[in-house]
Amino acid sequence: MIDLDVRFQVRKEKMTEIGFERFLSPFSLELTKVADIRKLPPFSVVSSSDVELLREAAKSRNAVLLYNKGFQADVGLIRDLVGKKKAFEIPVAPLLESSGIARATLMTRMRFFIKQCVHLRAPIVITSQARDSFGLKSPHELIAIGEALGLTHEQAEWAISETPEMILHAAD
Amino acid sequence: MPPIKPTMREKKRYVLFALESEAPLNEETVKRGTYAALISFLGEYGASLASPKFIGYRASDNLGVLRCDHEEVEKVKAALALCRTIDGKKVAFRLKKVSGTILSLNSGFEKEKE
Repeated sequence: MIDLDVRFQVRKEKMTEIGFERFLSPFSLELTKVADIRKLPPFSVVSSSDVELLREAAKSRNAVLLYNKGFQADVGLIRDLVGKKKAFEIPVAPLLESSGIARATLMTRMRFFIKQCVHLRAPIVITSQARDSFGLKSPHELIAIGEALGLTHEQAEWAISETPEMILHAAD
Repeated sequence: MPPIKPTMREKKRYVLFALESEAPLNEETVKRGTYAALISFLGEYGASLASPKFIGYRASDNLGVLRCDHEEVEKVKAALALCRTIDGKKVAFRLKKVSGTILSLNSGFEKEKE
């Protein structure tokens, strides 16, 4: 089990105790213009609400995880990632930070985006995107959240084990 | 009235969790927070399907047990995982074990203590 996006300094023992074999804190950048993509270091997480910027980032060798902040189910963008050693990031942090109808709306958008990704066979990775220890989630919890977002148990498990493994293997 | 056959009874699951919080919380506060998290995520209808029952919480080692319907256990796990605050204090539920009997969870309690 691998958490590919932990955004604070955490001890390895803590992550092992929670149930993760590996975790990473990669460079993350919110894209504002196309020029940002050229400056990316290897193994970066890029985020944007702009589909065109994300499509450009999908062409970059250094951007391995794409976080579609608006969860727009753009078929062109999703197709761009099919067969590549990259994945869409599905973070849990935005769900933790929202509540009530805002969380419900966010979950609806996430569910539809994930449904399209599964249909088009685009890889997805569930991450905690934790900024403190309270934001960290165990593999069981990530799987349960994945199931709440419309994945089967096996697909959710795949999204925190095999897909991250494939991305790490490709990056080595 | 004849007793209900074991095969006809609703099947339950017991969820053992550890609570990580920025300040100590008592059992009553954790109970209210847990139910609030379930209602917030599942709604009243979803919670009725999950039929949750707070079994207990031990403040000394921050371990607690919640009972729910076996078909809704994944939703209950997601609801607990998405709970961020109780009484205005930051918390994180760490799910340890799910079991069909409370007896085997007790052994989990003991293992956690060790």
